[in-house]
Amino acid sequence: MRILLLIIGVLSASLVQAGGLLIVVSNKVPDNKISLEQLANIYTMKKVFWKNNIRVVPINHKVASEERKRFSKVVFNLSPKEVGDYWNRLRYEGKLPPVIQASDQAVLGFVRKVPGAIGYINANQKLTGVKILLRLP
Amino acid sequence: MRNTLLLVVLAQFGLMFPSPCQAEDYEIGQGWHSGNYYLSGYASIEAVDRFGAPARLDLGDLSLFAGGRISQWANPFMEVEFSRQTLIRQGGGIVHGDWIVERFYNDMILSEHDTLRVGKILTPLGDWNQVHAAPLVPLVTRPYTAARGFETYASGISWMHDLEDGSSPDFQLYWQPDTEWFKRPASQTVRNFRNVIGVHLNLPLGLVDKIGASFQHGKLVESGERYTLYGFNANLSFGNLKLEGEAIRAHFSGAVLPGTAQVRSTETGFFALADYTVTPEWHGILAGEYYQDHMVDGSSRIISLAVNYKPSLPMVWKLEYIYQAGVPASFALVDTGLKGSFSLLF
Repeated sequence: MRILLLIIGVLSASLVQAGGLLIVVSNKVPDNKISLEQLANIYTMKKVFWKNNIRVVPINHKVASEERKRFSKVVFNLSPKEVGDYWNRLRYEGKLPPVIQASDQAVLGFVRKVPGAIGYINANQKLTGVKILLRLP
Repeated sequence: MRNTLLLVVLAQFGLMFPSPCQAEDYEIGQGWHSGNYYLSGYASIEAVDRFGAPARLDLGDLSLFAGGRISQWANPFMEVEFSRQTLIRQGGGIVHGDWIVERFYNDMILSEHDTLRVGKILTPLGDWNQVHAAPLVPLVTRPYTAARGFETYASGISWMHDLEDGSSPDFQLYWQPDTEWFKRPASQTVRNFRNVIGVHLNLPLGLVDKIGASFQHGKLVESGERYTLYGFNANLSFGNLKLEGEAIRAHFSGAVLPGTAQVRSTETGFFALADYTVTPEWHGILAGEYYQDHMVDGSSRIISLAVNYKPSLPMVWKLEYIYQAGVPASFALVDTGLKGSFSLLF
């Protein structure tokens, strides 16, 4: 059983490595592209509104997920734990850190439902009802 | 009466009666979210062995913070804390804790870069005062430099400005026209302040690295003195090594009321800390502080050696040895001894 879980873990990690990540937003977000710096500003809670004054709602994966490891490395060049320390400080300062969703499907569901939501998912997902702003390696 | 007031406040925030259909997942360390509202907090248990005094086990803090992101104009936040309750004391005797409203404010977002905050806030003076929750700081013992010489809470109005591209320093201006709201009991603070104004400049150098400068001017309630304080703080990272430091210099003038004694007109403190990440879980910490209170003849000199163990993001175990010299015991809030703690964000 452990070996099977290990194989599944390695395979899922490989999938993230191979396809990269897509940055997806609700169709109600006016932007059609985003830079890596703007993405970092969103996930550090410095950018809180889209151009049409809809509030930005960033979404995270769970801290142990391969997607979050990849995202933390590419966007911040840090481990999920280091970025998590930063978000814990933000929470204490009264700012709401990114909402956590457990899977790509949950992220997509949240993005479709919440107008200002932005999240990252594996590039191999089928997409409907969302926009792609950026592809991360 | 105080507990009833808190219940009313929580009910006004809508936190006590959330709609069940809005319920979302709770995860330890991440808090609980429901629609536009969230609830989070932390707890800290501390074992203290001051050499020459009875050892004790305390509930250092049980803190609950709640907030909402309702609209551009309504973003309330509050933190309520139960603090310093003795659980066990060598030889008996218990010190009962106090309920404290640490923060209670509303943010009005004026623009992408400007926020108006009204209510009771932590004053932005240095870094430690703004983020001093036990799971988020490396030492059990808070430095004098980050707590003693200035108003740590401001009750009034504050304007925060920050540019997302970091092209100029962030700043926060604040004004407390009178005294502290939800005043803390005497067991929790030795000084009270009134008519406080201040500003903090912050230059971010990365996600966590920064340099800051602070100014505060106000009046001490107990002595009637006026004071003007300048502060400096820095957080810098070099690979696995994180350095942080704070310094303050305050000048006191004016009336000194009976029962108080001004030994000198200035108060000075500086504090430096090195935190080395041995593994993601284990940290070794060395800190030093010098503090010269304007009402005390001698200065305090403190060296701390600590180990942090962080088995997961929301929890931390700490063990700390403190050596303190140079100040009469009646003044020393920090004595030579050992401290250990377990802290958890929830």
